[in-house]
Amino acid sequence: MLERRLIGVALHRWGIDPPSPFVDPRNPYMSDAARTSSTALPTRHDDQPTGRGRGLRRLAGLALGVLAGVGGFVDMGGVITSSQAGAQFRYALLWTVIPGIAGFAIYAEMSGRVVIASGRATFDLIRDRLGARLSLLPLAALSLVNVLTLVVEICGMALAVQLLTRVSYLVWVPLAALALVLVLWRAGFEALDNAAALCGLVILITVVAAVRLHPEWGQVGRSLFHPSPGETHPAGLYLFSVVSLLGAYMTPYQFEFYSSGALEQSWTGDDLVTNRSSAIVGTIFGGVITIGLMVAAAQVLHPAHAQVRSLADAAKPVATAFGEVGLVLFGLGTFAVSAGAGLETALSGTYSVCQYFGWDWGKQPRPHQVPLFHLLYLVMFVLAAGIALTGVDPIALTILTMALAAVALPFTFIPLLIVANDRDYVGEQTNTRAINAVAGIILALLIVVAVAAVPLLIVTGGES
Amino acid sequence: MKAVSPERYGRIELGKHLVDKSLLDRDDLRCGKVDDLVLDLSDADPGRPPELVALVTGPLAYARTLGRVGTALARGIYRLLGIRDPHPVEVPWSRVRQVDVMVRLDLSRAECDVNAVSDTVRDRLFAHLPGA
Repeated sequence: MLERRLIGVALHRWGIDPPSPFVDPRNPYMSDAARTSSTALPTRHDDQPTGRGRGLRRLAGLALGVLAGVGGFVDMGGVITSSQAGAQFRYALLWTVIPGIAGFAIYAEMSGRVVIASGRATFDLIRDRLGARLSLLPLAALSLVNVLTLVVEICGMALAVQLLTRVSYLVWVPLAALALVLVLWRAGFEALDNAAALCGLVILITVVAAVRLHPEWGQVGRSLFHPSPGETHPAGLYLFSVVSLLGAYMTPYQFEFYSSGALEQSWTGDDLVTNRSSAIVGTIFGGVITIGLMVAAAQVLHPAHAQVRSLADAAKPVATAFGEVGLVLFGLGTFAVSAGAGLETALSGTYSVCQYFGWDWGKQPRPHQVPLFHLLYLVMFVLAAGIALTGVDPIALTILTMALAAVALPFTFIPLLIVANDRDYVGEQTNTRAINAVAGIILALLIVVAVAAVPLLIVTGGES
Repeated sequence: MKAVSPERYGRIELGKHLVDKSLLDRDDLRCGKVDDLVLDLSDADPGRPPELVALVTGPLAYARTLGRVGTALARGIYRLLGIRDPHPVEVPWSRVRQVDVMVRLDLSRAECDVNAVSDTVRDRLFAHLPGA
């Protein structure tokens, strides 16, 4: 989510869209295939600034994008899983941030590069490479997780309003869903997504709170780089927490959203560099916020043996540090980041299905031009709001969904790895050995932990 | 490779390279995938080699790859949308303009029923919604 916003929107808003890759035959980064094609995507060539002005504007755009990206990295899943991890295991799960950052950066960069180099959308490529039947598996896994993630984000918005108004979140669920639908329907996406991301910046309050709560920095530093099992805790619960944290750092919708955004905005070979750097910068910011959430929870909730069973529990550390003001800021921040993530999840869900079936997609055209694209997210919102309204415990659902997201990740990562190593699709832009090595390690970690967590959880009967 | 540039390869493998590619109509709108291909084996003219005559697309063509359940599901969706007499769409090979990362057709939206589903959604569901 973050990177497309980081660069795509920022550049777009500053009027520095690069020319379409599909009309530049000299572009050295394009595969032959992409070079020979032209595409349905609209390209903008009007008033392109050149030379120094262009460089300056690009820089300014990037700065704005980075700001927007900071607020955009964390979502409801991140807020809950990180707070819960800090409450239950103090600093013992801080190390997960490192593979989380590495995994996100590596796979976000990969998905962006694959789309730029091939000129084709992710699920278009996956179906082409794996065939209609086999690729149905990643599509189904992604769609299931997307609908559940949408439930989580809608609940995040509604719970934040409950936190601020004391009126039950169930009242706000339909309103939150309706608000997001209207944004997508009226094509106000870009502006509102940016606004949500900028408002989401207030979630940085958790980092300030963490500092103010005087954690033992030495131990925080050690825990970051030295994985330590939670000694007094059931191994099943510990591993399950690792799984849901990894799922929260790398939620599947982010990659599909990111790469489709790159295609819709006609990124070129030039953007490969920006793609790479923004994938790294953005995730580091996200990592800092996650560490803030976890450390703050470790300072306040862990000593009290408290668990995160509601959004109010997750807000306690900030409220302890800053009182009522902190609570309000935390509520606003959670609302904003959940809204932004909700929009992106819905788009990601509808992108992937449209690309798989070859239906026209894109958020620029009006609904009557791309009816199936708009129908799909309407269906998603109806499903998601319906699930939320059953009154299922939103916090438990959030943690479970993030765990499920981690389990679903290999289904999208493996096809992506296959395509990213296939010269037929990406030409010269195949993965380097280093990228493949790190990507492989992350993938192995995901699979091993996910496979181990479930039986352990059953054996130890770990309660959460 | 699937993302074929014909001038570089000259020839492509149909199952690997052509099936599952996206279709683009004359107005550069995506309108489905190549789900299957039709080879003409008729023996009206003995000695004539088999000829590629059409590509098949549409939900029902896709559903066949998923077996009976898939077909029933696709028919159910058609019924739900009130589309009568659904059938896989055959696009004559003569209407294929170019094959590269996509398959470009010489067809406009109105000319074929490739877009039956999306047109129905637009006309029956979206027509009454504001802002569509």
